[in-house]
Amino acid sequence: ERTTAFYSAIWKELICGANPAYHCHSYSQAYENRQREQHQARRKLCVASVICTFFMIAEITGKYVCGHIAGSLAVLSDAAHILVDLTGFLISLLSLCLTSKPPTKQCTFGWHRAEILGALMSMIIVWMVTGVLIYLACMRLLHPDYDIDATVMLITSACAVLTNILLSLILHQTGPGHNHGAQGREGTSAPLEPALSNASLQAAFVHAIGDLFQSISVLISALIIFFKPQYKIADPICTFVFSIFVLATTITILRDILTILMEGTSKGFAYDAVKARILTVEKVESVHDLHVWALTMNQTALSAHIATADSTDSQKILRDVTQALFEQYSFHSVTIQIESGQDQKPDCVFCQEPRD
Amino acid sequence: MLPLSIKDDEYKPPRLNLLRKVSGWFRSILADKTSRNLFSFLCLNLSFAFVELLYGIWSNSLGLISDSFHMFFDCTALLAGLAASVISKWRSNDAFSYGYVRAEVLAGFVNGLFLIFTAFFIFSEGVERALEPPDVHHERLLPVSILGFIVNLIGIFVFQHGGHGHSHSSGHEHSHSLFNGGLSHGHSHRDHGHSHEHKHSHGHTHGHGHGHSHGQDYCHDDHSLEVMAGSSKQILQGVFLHIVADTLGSIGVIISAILMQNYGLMIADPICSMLIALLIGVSIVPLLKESIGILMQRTPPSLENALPQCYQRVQQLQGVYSLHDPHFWTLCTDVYIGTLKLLVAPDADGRWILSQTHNIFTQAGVRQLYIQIDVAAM
Repeated sequence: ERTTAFYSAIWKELICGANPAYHCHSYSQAYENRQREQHQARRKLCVASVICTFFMIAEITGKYVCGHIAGSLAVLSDAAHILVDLTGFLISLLSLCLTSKPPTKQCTFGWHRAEILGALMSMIIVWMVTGVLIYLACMRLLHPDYDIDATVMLITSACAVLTNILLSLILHQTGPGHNHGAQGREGTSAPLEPALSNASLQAAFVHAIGDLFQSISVLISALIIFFKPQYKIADPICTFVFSIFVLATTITILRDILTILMEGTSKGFAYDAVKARILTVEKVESVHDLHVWALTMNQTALSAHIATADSTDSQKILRDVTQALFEQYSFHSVTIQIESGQDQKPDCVFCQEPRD
Repeated sequence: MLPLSIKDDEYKPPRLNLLRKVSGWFRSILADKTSRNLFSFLCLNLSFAFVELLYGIWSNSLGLISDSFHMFFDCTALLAGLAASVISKWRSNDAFSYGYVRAEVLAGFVNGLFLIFTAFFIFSEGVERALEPPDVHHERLLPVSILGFIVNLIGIFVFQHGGHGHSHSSGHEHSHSLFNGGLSHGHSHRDHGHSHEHKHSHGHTHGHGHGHSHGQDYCHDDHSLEVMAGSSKQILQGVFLHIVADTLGSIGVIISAILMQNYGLMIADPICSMLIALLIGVSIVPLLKESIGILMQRTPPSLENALPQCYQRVQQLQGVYSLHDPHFWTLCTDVYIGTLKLLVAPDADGRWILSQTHNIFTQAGVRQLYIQIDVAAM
């Protein structure tokens, strides 16, 4: 807590300088939430990586000691899968460490986007691994000349399922309740926080869940082959079916990542609602060039041009709009350009609203 | 009771809609010269891959089949570039208020990542082959690699000038799609007991649309459409270096095939693979650095020198006490967006300061600007 307060004091100094405006406080709320979120995510990822490494070493030594080289596609892929899992965790951890770097003149917003890029890389790795598995399964289907040792497969996949359940539980993020410290400033309509708030943690979670699905598929095919050894074809078929599940789990986070990277309006912020909120402030005539975009999952920036009839009181209008926005939503930064009503051109093509 | 009216016009059979959408996409692809090039190159690659697959199935060669799979994988990267060039022309809406122009940067980034992964795999396979050299069948190697070299040369001629395309729609949108070519790589890829050559092509597109600036009258009627040649020239250079590296790769494959056939130097194969992987890796670094920079909301490198001067000029305006919290970032090539906050004196002329600041930054190239003016307390 003391470090957070220390850093937010420095942050206020840097941002506001001599201006004791009230909006300095509005910045630090999002900043403090972010610090807490990062700290928690880092802790969880470290624990998960350690457990993953431990399991990987145990599996490799176990296989080596027993001298079992199970000819099953699924067990081979499982060992490689755990390595890929670990790579995903390490990428998430690395991108988290990068995001805590302070902002520089080159990256004035800081390194928040590194989290999103790391998550994108993780998801691409998941897709590529699934593609390779499907390809190998196809090859196995076309050339069914492989042996499977069902017992080893059973034991290894059971251990893998248990480890993956443990990892998923560690990496799971609970709802938005734990994220907000001081709830005092929340207005009547609480902001819609996405349930999984940190992109790196969510990517690692998707990795763990995907691995869980693959391990379950290996377990099922091991059980089938154990009791009915002639159904060797269960192996590739299970791989196919569960690969589809794995890809389905990546869809949600990929959609979020793509929205953020395309500078789209982030989840929880309806464009029309934000615009309507600004228009309710008195003396605001019109809003154009409104953009709500996200640096990362919970850090949203807003910028807009606001036209007002009364240009003498623009400072008060600025404060009112900023206060209205921060009451209802949690923003990383808000930049409002106040223009006078007489300077508006109604037929300017760039002041048009975006379509629905 | 009979119905009073039948709302037939609201019901559109879904199949017709899809057909219309797809034909709309085709029209947009064929309208632009560079995406046309990309589309034809994609068709060429796809047909090459299909021919290889059929030949491999017919002659029961596992190596050829897996090579055709690789070519299909490369075609998906090319498809991603084509999709990005179509998507980036869509209009902006509520969910994406800046439009879809970032799709091109994303496509470049994803293509760069794929290339890095591919280079890594080739390198590891080369190391594997060097450590335990397998039996290499090189009868089919030379004709396939020569064919690949020819396709590479086609790629060079087609995309040599970067394929500069303009599409103007009157009034509402101005989009220059500066399409930066397809990249064709040829490299040798050895499998257990089979040798084959495969190539993959990637397209990445950078396009830029123009935003608007609020000048003296807070709205621009005349849109100046000058193309900033500085940054795009760098991209074009990068693309050309890519294609040259590819051709060198094909030449390397041909040389190693000749060496193996005539002199039996089996070590030439893995060394070639490793060299080609290194070449690909080195050539991809500038593209990755640029697209990562854009995606990280980095201050545009082309503005880095101009910005401090702009800050100084703004701070010298009458009534401005200080400037803080400046953020400038790239939306896509040559479209820059900036926000900043000014602390001004209570008696300063806000409108004048606003229009002067807009002018200063428009000269630097930033057209979309958001200036928050905070009046200092008395």
